[in-house]
Amino acid sequence: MTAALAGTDAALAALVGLLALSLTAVRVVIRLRGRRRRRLWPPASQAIARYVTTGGDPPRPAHRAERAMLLEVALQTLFDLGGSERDLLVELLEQLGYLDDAAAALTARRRAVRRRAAEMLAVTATPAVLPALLAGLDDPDALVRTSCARTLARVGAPDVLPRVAAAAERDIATAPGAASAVVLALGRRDPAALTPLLGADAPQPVKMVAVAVAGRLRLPDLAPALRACLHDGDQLATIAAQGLGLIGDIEAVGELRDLARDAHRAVRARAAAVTALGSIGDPWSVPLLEPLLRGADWPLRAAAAQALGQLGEPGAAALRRAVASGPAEAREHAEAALQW
Amino acid sequence: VVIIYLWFVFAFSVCFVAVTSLVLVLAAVEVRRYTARGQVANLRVTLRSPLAPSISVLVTAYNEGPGIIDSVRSLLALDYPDYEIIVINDGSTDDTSARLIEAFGLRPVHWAAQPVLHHRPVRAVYAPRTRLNLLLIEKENGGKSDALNAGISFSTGDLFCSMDGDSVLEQDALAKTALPFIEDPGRTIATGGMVRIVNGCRVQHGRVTRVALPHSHVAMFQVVEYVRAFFGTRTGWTAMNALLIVSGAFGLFRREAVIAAGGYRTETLGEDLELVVRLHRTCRKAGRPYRIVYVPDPVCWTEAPESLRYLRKQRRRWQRGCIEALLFNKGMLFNPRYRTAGLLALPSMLVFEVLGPVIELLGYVVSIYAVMVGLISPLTYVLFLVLSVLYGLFLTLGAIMLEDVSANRFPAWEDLRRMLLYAVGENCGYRQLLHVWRIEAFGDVVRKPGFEVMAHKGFSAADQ
Repeated sequence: MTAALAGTDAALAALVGLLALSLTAVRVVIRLRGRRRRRLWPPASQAIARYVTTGGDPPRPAHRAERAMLLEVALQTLFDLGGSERDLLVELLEQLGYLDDAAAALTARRRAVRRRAAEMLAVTATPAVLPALLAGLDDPDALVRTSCARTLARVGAPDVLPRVAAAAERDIATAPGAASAVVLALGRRDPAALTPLLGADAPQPVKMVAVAVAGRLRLPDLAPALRACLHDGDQLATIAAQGLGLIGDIEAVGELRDLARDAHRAVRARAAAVTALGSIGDPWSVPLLEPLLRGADWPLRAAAAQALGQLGEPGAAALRRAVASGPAEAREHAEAALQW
Repeated sequence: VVIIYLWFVFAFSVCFVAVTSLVLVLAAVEVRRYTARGQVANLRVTLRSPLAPSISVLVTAYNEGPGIIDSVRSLLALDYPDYEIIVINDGSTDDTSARLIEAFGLRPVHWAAQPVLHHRPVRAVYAPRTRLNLLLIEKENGGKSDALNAGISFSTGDLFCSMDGDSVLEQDALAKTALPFIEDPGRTIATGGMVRIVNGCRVQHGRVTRVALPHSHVAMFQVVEYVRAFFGTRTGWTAMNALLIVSGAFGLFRREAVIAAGGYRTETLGEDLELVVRLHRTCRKAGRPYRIVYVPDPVCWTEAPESLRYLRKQRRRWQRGCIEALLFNKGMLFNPRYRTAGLLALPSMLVFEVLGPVIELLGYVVSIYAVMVGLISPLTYVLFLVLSVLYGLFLTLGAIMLEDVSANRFPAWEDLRRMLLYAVGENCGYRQLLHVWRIEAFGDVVRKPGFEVMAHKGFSAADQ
């Protein structure tokens, strides 16, 4: 027993020693990287700032470390740049061969390399590497595919957009967040590109994202598709009602009123419809909202009070009536709404 | 009997080494996956996305007067597209509310909270005259769980962030912690970030401007513990989707999932642990796919006790919470229906966290007796002690390495030297003391005494 323990002690001591050495090595590497970063970052960012503001000589990195640092600074800068300065910087990256390198890296064997390259191309968002991005739509990794799709949604030709929409549809289950970003990029580029994702036969998860995007981006062209979703399941109807409220679609008032008064639908969907009626500012909805304010469901009461508060004098009068003669629950909401 | 017990301790140690090594290896894999994901790009996309979920930051405060203003100021400067701050004053007897009302120009308002969870009556609600997304709820004292339940009832966000009034979030902490909700919105129900000890750091206007290790020995031991617990343990359990705790000092939860689970339980002092265990239970029971994630990088700074008196109270409270969480969810133990959480994580908690202190302390006594009567040789005993110290050092070194790779907040060699020194030193009394306090907690579970809250110095005084 003693011998076995002594052996285990020795082995563990060796392991701890090895770990301590590795830790030291990791720390040395981190320090060296930090030092190099502190040394190279200022000249790289100054060179880029000079280049994009004055359009002078492009920076010429002398060695690999400088080249890597220039790319890092450029990518960080691109997030905050727009217009001609952004174009200039992307052009610089293209001239220096970074974009070709990234396009080539999209076919690398290692997934991490491909992901980095796809993300870099998404940040630069330039049509210069379209063939590589199109090929990236067939990558075995969902994150690479969605990064390429996001970039194509921004810079691809209009005929590519259906393929981008199909990519979002395919990856919504495996990479929901990344696929949602693709749908968002599509909505920003061309609202019509979202139409296939809003159709009756589109899968439910991607349809929900497309409806949310249409609402958040306030895309009036897609209001008819959102109105159709009000007749769908409760979850989709809720998001569609929220979207129609954000868009301010006056033509949706009738269907929103129907949804709000339909006692067979989920309270959440009805409350979203009530909120939308308030956002649209439809004063003829007051007779519908007043009984809801005195109803039994908290979300409906809260939404009705908030909506009435947005409907000018007729709404305010209804709230005052609730304060004066309504039940305690309605009074509470009405007082809060009147105050805001 | 002595020999049998010693063999039992040996078997216990082997199990401990097997589980903790597995968790450490998985933690390394998870940290590598996290650092390879291109965090900066994801973060910037998140911060501009209109699809980012809205968050209600719930700050519970009980006599937090000295630090509350800095805390709220730091929260108002967070980088996140859509969030509101709700301060819940849980019946403070100091001037917490008065300070807030004065500093942010708050006025009393009518507010109809959604009655989704039970909580003690609310006395008043205050909101600013300006467009600040800040709400102050003044309620009767009911404990942290009760205050959080009230906060959830008043919140309007898709997610809520629970945090203490004496904590400070880094500017990008909310966005980093929210990332898993954006990447996998259907499954992610809770995420937690790193909680670090602010003692010794410089805090100015609610922000940590200089990171440094504390001078106090008691706080220093806790720094080592926190690094080991967060990097070496929680990251590993995340890889198995069996994370059982999202720290009450900083955690993000999907509001509807918590409401569906019944909110925070008010009969326990370990409400954070109990809620997460219950979330596992309710999601598995409902057949809902879910993820509970620890994100290694976002940081919440919190004040650690510097005196043994407060540390003892804190640890007894934590241990009592741990035991109560196990009792409330005992049906999950060794139940295959709850997968890794029921088969490995909860049993580990029972054996190593709850029973471990008793087994270890009794082990010291029995082994010393065995040496005295000649059942084992003194050399064997010493070798066993050396083994346990070495293994503790191994776990600490592994956790520090993961910390270096993912965050590297203590880059100085002097910091490393001090942490290693305290990692060895904790075996000489500190750990045993913690075990004694944890055993005392068994009595607290029965007696259920109230606990005195640590008097906070406020962050202006944290730089010492």
